[in-house]
Amino acid sequence: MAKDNIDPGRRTAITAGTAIVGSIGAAVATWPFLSSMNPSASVLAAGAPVEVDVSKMELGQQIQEVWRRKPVWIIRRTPEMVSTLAGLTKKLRDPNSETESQQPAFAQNEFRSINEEFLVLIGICTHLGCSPEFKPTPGEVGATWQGGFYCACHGSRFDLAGRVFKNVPANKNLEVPPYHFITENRILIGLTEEEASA
Amino acid sequence: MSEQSTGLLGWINARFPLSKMMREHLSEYYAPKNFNFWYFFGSLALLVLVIQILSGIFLTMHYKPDAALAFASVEHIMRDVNWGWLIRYMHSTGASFFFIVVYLHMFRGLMYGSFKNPRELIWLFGMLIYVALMAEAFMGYLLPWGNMSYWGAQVIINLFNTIPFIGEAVSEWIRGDFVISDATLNRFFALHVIAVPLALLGLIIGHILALHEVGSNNPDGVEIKKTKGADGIPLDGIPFHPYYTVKDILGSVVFLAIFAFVIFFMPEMNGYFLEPANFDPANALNTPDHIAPIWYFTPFYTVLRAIPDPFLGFMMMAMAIVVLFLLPWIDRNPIKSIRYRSTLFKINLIIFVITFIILGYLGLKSVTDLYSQLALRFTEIYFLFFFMLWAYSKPRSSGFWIGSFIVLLAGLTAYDFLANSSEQPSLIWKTWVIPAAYLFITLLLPQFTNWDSEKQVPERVTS
Amino acid sequence: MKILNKILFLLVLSILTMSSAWSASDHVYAKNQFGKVNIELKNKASLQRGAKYFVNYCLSCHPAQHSRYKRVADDLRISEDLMIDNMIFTGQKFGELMTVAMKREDAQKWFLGVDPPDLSTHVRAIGPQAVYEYLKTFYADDNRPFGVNNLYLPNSAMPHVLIGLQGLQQANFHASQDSNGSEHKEFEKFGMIKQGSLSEQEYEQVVTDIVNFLAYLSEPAQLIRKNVGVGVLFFLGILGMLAYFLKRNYWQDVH
Repeated sequence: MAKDNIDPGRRTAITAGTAIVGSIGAAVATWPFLSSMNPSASVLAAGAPVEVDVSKMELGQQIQEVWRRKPVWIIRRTPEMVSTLAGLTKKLRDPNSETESQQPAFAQNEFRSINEEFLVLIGICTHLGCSPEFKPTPGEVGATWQGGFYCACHGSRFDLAGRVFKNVPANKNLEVPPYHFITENRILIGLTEEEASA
Repeated sequence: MSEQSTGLLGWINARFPLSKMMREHLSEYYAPKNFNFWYFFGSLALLVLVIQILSGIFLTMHYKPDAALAFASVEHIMRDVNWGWLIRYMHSTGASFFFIVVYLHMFRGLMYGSFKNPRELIWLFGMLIYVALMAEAFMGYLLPWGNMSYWGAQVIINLFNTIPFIGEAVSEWIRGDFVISDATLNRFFALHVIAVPLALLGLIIGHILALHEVGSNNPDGVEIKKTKGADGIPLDGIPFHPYYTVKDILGSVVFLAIFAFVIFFMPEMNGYFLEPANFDPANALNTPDHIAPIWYFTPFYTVLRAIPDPFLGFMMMAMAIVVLFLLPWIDRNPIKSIRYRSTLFKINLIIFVITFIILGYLGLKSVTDLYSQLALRFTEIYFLFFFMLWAYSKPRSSGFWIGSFIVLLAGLTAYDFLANSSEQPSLIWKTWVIPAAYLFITLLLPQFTNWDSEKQVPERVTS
Repeated sequence: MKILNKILFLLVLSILTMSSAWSASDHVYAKNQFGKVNIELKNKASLQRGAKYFVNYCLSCHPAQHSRYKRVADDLRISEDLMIDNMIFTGQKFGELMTVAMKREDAQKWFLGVDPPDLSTHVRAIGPQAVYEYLKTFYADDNRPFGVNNLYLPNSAMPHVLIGLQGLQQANFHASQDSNGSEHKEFEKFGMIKQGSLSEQEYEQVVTDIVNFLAYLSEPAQLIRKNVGVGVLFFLGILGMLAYFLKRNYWQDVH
């Protein structure tokens, strides 16, 4: 076997060229496999935004919907309920909703919602994931209770804007999902106004 | 020869025979320099195995092995999963291509005598791989739970009923139920996804280790280890790496182009790779008009159908595969390669290939009188081929040729009188000519010609 | 020897690619007597019309339960609002599967024990040409529960849903003997008993659009499959050339 007449530079060049093109091909070929692991159309369909008609809600009522397999609460707050919010500041861990992960920008206000009347929250306790109960009646959960949510698992408490109290196991406010009003009485859970019009 | 002992590689080499294995199996595995087209198919079979495993893993992420959900889950893969259609087509096309590659790989063995001493064990491992592959494909075909999946499995598993005394119990044990059902689907899934692939991997490792122990055959059938240089390296050998790695890369790219063409432009292959009836979900109350196994099983299906008695037909079909296991002990001619064998040997092999193809074609068709008789005749030739291989193992006397001709022809004629029947009896005699002509060519022509003379095998490889 | 092997190899290849595993069934009419359907998957307008006819005429009984409305809308370039307003009558959501409300037991009762097959996959089992012939060969037959019979699928359990468009045909047969001497009837031609709202040409277009849509529906990936394939083959061509030069370069060592 004669190895004398080979041009080593040429050999290296062709080898390198083939290796590079081959690697590009291999990398591109992995793409469909990796992409197949992304959420499929059926999963995306199940996670699609949910429309809710709130026209028949009574004042002070809570209804529950499901979005992305999570419970979502809509509470139609009475003016009395809304008035309790301002005075609780000292008892709350994050009264001004400064933890950005817990609500979209439009909910970074004292009501944690688009308008005073309707509160939209994801009904999962920010401690370890149980579903708290709606306790709107003053005195229901202890003498100073003015209304809010109480989680029976480990005793976490939240006010009527979903804000977490101090000295409870949970340390974050209940999450507000993206949502917006399509009409006066229809809420679309899953998309903010900007996202919807994009 | 010193192993690298420094750096990361050195650290590994002190603890694991990495460089040693690379040398033994790649850069210092000396393969004959005259490998031709027929020698691509081993590495291509490995490539298809990798494709099947990869595509299979990603299909398993979305497939549901439940009779109520399976069919819909396959459509979910085809429509909802990103690139799911591509992964599915890779797997279905890969299954058919696996058999194309393996049949060509086996044919190489027949042509060049690669099953002969000292390579009998390589051949046996290979035959076990073939049987495992057939099991893997059969079980895989049930998984989409289409109507052909269901009925094909129903018919083939019912074959086990024909075993005397224990037949029905065996069938029920395989199925886990009285008919093909969810129980069958679940266990076929388990076997197809992990059990048989593990067995296949083990067998393939055995196959390659056995090969590397004795060294590869070549188109001239010359043992290159007989002529070594002063350094102990066979004069006609070249290191597998880089020469055959580079050649196999080229072979793989050409193969992938053909593979890609089928996947993207004709994944159904006119209904041979993806059968139309399988796009209807399994329906226990509605049998497809025409049940046939998928194309790569049809030659054996024809052998099964050629014998009217169900159990004997089943045995005959099994024998058609068992006889292949015995090949190293049937063909004992010391000349390995077809290049130096007699003209009659070549004719015999060509007839065998044509026979196998015709048996395959007949298996796709519905049964008619004519096809039934043809199936019998070509089954006869299939088995007689192996007799001829034995006969051609060494020089024989006139008495042998004439005697064999008479005995074999009488035997199959007796079968026609005793067990063969047809709506049109003239068909029996008309088709009798086929095996009779075959026997005349292979057994009597040596008398009139010198077509049984063999050539001198060279000492060194030619090309 | 090598040549013969190559011939045999090509023979097998040609059997695989040129013949077909589709079983030919016998009809009382000649093959392609009603023409061959022209499938044009690139004709978006035809696909959109076909989709419209499909949801209006077929989807009430035949599910397409593996297909999603959203996928059809995206592939056919129908906007979400247009689809929801005009093509989803059942209150289903845009991302949902195109199932039907009819219960299986009811379907089997109404249609002589036959479940209307799911059309997202059944068309792949029988082929678009079969559906084309089916929709064109309904004819009057008082002996059948719905008053119609069908040349493609004799004694079909389906009413002629498109009768308002096509009208009611009459089939004229003549008796003939085959080679075994047994009599059977052969189809001659159709006559129109009662004209529908469309002319023959217009109905032909409707049927073509429906079949075109169903051909798409049986495998939505068709719309991109071939294009991706061209890219892949082009890439493999380049890689193949490089691999060839690489092989040749190393093998010049070997004599």
